Amino acid sequence: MINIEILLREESRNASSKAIVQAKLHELGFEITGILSASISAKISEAHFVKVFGRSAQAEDPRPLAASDFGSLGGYAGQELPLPPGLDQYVESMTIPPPVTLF
Amino acid sequence: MPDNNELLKIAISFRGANNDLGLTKFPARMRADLIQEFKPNPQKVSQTIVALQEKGFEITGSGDLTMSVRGYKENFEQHFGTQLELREYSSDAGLVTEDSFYYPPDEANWNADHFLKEFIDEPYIQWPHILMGQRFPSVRPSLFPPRVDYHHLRVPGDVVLTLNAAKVHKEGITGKGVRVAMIDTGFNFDHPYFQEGGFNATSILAPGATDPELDNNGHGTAESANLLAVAPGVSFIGVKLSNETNPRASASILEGFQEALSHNPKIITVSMGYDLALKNAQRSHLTSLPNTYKALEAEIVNAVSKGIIVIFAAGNGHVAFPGRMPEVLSIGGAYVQENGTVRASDYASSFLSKIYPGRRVPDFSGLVGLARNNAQYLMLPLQPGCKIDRNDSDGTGQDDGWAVISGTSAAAPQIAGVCALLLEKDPHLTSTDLRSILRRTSLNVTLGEGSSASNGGVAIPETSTLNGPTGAGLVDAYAALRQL
Repeated sequence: MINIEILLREESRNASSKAIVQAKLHELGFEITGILSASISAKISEAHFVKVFGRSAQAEDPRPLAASDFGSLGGYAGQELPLPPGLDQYVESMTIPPPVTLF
Repeated sequence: MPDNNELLKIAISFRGANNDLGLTKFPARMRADLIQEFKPNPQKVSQTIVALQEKGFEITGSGDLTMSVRGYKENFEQHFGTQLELREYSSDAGLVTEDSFYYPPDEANWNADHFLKEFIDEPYIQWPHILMGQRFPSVRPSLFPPRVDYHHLRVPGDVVLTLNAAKVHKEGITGKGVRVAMIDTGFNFDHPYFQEGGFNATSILAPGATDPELDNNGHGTAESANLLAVAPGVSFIGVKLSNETNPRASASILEGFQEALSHNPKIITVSMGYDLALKNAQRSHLTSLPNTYKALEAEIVNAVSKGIIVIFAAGNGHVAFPGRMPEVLSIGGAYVQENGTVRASDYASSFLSKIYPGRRVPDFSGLVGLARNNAQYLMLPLQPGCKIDRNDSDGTGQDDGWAVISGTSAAAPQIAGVCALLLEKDPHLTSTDLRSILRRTSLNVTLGEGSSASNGGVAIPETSTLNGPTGAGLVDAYAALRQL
């Protein structure tokens, strides 16, 4: 599953807009994992990702321990995604967060 | 490799008598008060059992909500209307019972017999078991750390003394009543160090994470020992991000952050982040925050505005985010030498942010080793045989459950502990209050320099100002307490 972070527009940071966005995401095959004040977190399978965005996400394996840190958790290369139709009215950006580094 | 005559292990979930959705279709987290709705009609369960037996399946067990069934690949494909493929399987979490098994392709549809589809929510082929612990030594780690022949600090005693928290403890202040969430790889509190400490500590999962008792990396477990040394009385909530079975499915920091928020913590401390340097020789700094990080930025700002103290590691030569956000307490590193003198750690980041004008990183510092020693400085407990334990350069065993490490990862939870001590004394302290108190009471550091990697190849030398590579210096818990 690919982690997706959805930043809402300022004017959409309310319950009714969040419900609309949530429903649209659900229709597109996203699994909502959290709703916060300004953002929605979701996950999507690789197959659904291809259906929605027309290309694959670039998988990244966990990075091993290095000289300056303890490596990174695995995930997918961070990138900003095009907004699926119907979401641009509510959503400022939709992104894949890059794998996090352990300091 | 399994053959076609090998029985598949199948779990069946039913459609509920009062909720046609079924367990697997319910979008929210299941709650105890809702579970009754998903119990199937007993008569329908009996009919399903008969139908499955007639189709050649063997019923091996049943519970209130689900049923265990075994059946052949051919039968499964015929009656559940899907094709199965052979999958290879291995896991970092331990040995697996089978190294391949039959399973539907991702996103495969199933089209069961009409009768089965009416009562069955989903049939799931069970994945091979992971034998937890099989790769780990059977001998429990010692409560006492191994000896190494170089200068290092131990938890809890040395860290408590060096941050001047022992005097705070003597006043009966240990962080009692302060809820602290730490977001990290995982938390294995089975180690005798934690058992003996009697800490009020628990591990919970962020979305996508698995196995709350495991920490196969070791980072979260080890760094949490820093916090629990300084503030042994806190209510500690470890939010695990890692998925050991499928590392790509690990939770994001934002998911960990939202999970932490749901537990109403007073402090959230995070020893991880992102390195926002360009990949050129100078490691030039970005001048604006990419959209990839803006959701996390927004939620951190919001959390701090609601009174939550958010603490991030400044990075180990990384141009770290969110450790540079003005709203967070940014924690760098100072090194206390064997003779007691204190110098800036050249392993820890220090820089002037180009994204947040005027923001200098860090605010102040905890204990971090030196780059020439690979920052090996703090003897910390962790899960025996985990990734960090297996690193053999620190003089400890590879599966003894102890490692000598450090980094601003260690410093951030140390200072989170100091903040918890102060919040026990005065629960109304804000993030601004804490920053101000800790900056004016930190031990001024005048030796050493910061990591050059975090500052375009030029190390910031320590001076007597509050804006050197250790920020205001090494945090002094007792001096801070005396301000209250």
